[in-house]
Amino acid sequence: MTEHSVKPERLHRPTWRDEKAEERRNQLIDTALQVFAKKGFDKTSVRELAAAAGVAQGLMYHYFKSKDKLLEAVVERHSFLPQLKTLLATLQSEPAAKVLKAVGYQFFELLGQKESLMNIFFHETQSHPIVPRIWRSIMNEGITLFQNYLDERVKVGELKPHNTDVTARTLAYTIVLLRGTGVAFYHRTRPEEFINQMVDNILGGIAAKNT
Amino acid sequence: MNKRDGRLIKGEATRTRLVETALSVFAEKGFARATIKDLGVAAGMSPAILYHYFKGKEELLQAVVERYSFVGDVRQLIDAGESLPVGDFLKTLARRFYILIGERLDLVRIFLQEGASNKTVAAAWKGLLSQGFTLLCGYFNRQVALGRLKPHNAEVTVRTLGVSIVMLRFTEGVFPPQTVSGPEFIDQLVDNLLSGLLPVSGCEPGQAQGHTVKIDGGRAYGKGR
Repeated sequence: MTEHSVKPERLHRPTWRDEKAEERRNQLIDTALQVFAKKGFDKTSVRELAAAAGVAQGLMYHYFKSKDKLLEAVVERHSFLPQLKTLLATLQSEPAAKVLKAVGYQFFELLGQKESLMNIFFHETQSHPIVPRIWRSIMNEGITLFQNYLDERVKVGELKPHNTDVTARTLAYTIVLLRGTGVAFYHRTRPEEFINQMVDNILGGIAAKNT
Repeated sequence: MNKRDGRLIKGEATRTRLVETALSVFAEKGFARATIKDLGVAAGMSPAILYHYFKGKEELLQAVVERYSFVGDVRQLIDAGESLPVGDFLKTLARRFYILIGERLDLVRIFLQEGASNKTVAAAWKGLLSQGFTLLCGYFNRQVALGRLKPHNAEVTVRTLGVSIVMLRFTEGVFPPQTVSGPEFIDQLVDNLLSGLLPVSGCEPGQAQGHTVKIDGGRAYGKGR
């Protein structure tokens, strides 16, 4: 890239007003997350959201054109994808067993902080078209991340060739459901041990025979 | 038919109707949010009649779970398939379970929505799962004892299989697997799991990956029976 090709941008330092606006926007998003999770996306009106956030309805529309846009913003701010991406990128060169265990467990922990978000998805899979659309896009992106990682391990010969979509989903499904319903873990097997053993079981099946 | 029999039959029909209505009202409105009044309206009867059949919402949920429980099916399948090769049996069982879940999506919806937040729902979900899981753990541990599977923590295997299939079926309408159908997914899941569990497989997973597990599943649980 040459110096000429880059048009120097005017340095934009956030003003006090910008910061306030950002703060307010985040506050509205966080309130919406709580209200959606509690009441359901479908049943919540913009008026209720404004009341819960203590702002005028007009201000809500100033920040978000619609309830759908607000939900998109909620997911963007609270999705687990950025952390998952970072995790997989940092661990890329470690052995598969170690990476899958670490990522599996951190994914589990991460989901624990996303309880409200998961509530929205479990509640409204069917009822409102935008909720499944968003859920599909996060899950597919998350599963693709896992899958790309597994494909890479297949390519370098650490895992035998197999349908990595199935493996990625098995791991993701199990962890999401175990976290989402809270009670499914057997009291004798703690989550971390469970995930370690699950990865060992699955890997024993997909590890190349010559390792 | 005398008058008394007629009344009994009618009573049974009303009870069934209430249970079926409760399933859809709980799934749609949520167990915590649904009131006896809502249930009465949906079933077209007065709350007083409802109370005649059930003490309250909790008892209704219990009746819903009993009516739609899949534990009986799992038990029958195990009884019928115990002698089959493990792979064949697990694929049959898992595919059947996938169909059963598909027929009970409303029940699954109640559990997934409120299994973490509502104590009554959590207890019902946990109860149903632990009955099913205990049956299956028994099967796995017997296969281990017979030398068909290597010693491992059967609880982990059973849960991995069970909840993967629940999630697969429940989310299939939203984000289905990209490359395979549900039943194909199940076959490959079983194959992946098994080549790791069968004693003929080349390597011990923990050792092969140079990574130790904190608990020895086989010793801790496999021989518990």
